[in-house]
Amino acid sequence: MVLDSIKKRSRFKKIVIAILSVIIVIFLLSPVAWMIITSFEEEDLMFRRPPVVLPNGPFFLNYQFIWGTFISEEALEWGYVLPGSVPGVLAEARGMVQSVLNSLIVATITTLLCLAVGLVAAYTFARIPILGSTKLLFYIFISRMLPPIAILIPVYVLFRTIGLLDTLASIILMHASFAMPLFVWILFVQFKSVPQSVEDSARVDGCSRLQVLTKILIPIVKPGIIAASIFAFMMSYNEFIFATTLSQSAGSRTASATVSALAFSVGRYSVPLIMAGGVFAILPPILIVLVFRKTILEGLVSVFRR
Amino acid sequence: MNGRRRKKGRWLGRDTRFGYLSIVPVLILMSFFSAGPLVYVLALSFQEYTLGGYGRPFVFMENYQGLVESRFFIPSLVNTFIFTIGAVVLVFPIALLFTLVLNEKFRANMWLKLTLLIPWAIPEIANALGWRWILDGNWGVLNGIMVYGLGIFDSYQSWLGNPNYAMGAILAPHVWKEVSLATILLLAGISTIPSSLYEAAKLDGANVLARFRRITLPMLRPIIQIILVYETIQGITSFAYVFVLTGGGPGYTTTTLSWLVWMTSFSFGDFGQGSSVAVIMSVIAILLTLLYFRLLPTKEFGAVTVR
Repeated sequence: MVLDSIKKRSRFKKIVIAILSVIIVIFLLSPVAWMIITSFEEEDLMFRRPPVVLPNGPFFLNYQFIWGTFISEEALEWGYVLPGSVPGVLAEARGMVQSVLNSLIVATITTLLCLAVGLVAAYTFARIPILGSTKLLFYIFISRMLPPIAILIPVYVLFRTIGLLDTLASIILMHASFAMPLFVWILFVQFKSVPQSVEDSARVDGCSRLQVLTKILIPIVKPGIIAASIFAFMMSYNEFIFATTLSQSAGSRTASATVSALAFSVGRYSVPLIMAGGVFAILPPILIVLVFRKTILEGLVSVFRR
Repeated sequence: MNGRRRKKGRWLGRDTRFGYLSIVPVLILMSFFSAGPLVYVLALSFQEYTLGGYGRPFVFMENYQGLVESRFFIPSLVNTFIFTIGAVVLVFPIALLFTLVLNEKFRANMWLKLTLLIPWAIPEIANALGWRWILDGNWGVLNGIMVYGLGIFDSYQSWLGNPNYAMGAILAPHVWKEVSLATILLLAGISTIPSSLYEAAKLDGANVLARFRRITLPMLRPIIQIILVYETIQGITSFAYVFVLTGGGPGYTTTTLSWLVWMTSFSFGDFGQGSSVAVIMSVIAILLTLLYFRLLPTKEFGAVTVR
């Protein structure tokens, strides 16, 4: 009897969880799904009530155009305007491939910079008692709370003064300064969690600080390092306010900046092309998440394990 | 003995040198690109600095006075407040519900966690662009669903142009994206709660609700606090959705502080007054963070930061 009711309840529970899971998946995927569907739509079919979902099958023209394989005569036939002749959606869309590459470069160097500079700093904050270290850590942390838009004007002036405007370097420096606080903070917590005795015994055996860090501590906190790096990478890929302001020519734009330019470009209103540009921009981070899913989830758990 | 000797030589020792050298690059980076610009903005906010204006005379509080008297300021404060509170109030319960579902063990669990990472991975601006098309007043899919699918409305609504819906329309993409990270963090937290606690409580006859209230919530508290701080900051500093979706309109219904900085500086060309908004915004963000740190009980705070 009792067993029966337990079985019944667990069956009920299973059904509830299944329904909720479906709702969660719909919640999480439907906006992206609609964006992807739209990007495969023909332009003439966009303006329908009710909206239609790919009645003629997927249409690859938008992607071909962005990828650059689209021949211009065909473009004219289809009613597209040649890029270059009209500065607008088309030209911006054409720049997408370059922008995604730029974004990957910027995000990678930002992450490497965080690793090169932030890792040792986090170790120092966690382990070496230097004057004012708590205050300095707090100073670094509070910088994360600054609204990016609030310091936009001085940052622009600063980079114009030092002549780095319209270069990837300026964007990298800005992104690094915005990703650094969280990076240092996560690793500070990680290093703190390693028992002091682990380090002491290595020191007694004659290891230097740097050796302790590279040979003993880094392997222990590796999941945390990966999590912090992914946060830095994603933050950089996501950011668009500085990227838009600091880059002026299409050649130094990041993907987010180009998407932003796409959103406001004048010219022919081609929703599918804009959406294809957006999908192009979101592809790399989604691929990274899919490939590194286990590492990301484990890294995050390790950050918050007590 | 050994400890004392080490302590004596601390300030001149190799450790200290290593320590200072190791944090200098980070401090330089933060000073040049975060704190420095903030100081500069503070200075600008006391100057009359307009596009096409001559020189930059010092006007002390005039920018602030002009700002407070302008018809944008109070609405933008209120809107920022509504947006932030709305975001936190929506994100947290949704994330908690998702966490409880995803924490159950079932076959598709790993795949669900994977989909969870997707909104987090999508850049804000691309998200905003996608939602602009979803919310489109003439051809958008939301209208299609509302009118033809569910029959809630008789005619297409202008979600972004209607003052009653505009705030909801910029909250939707924000909440959608933020739920993702909040859930991931909560899941990370919930997975660290030892199952023995639940078993003991079960033996004591505690039902599901009691177990949730007495074990899950208290054990998750540090992470919940982190999420609340994070979401508050995200809400205050949010810019992309107003930027792409509404441009502060209709009227001032979605003019937030961050949009006001943009509008005053780049639309009106008044960098002085724009800077004064930026200063006020930064002060609010920093004060709130400090307040949160005050409110965190030291023990819990220690548990999170120092363990």
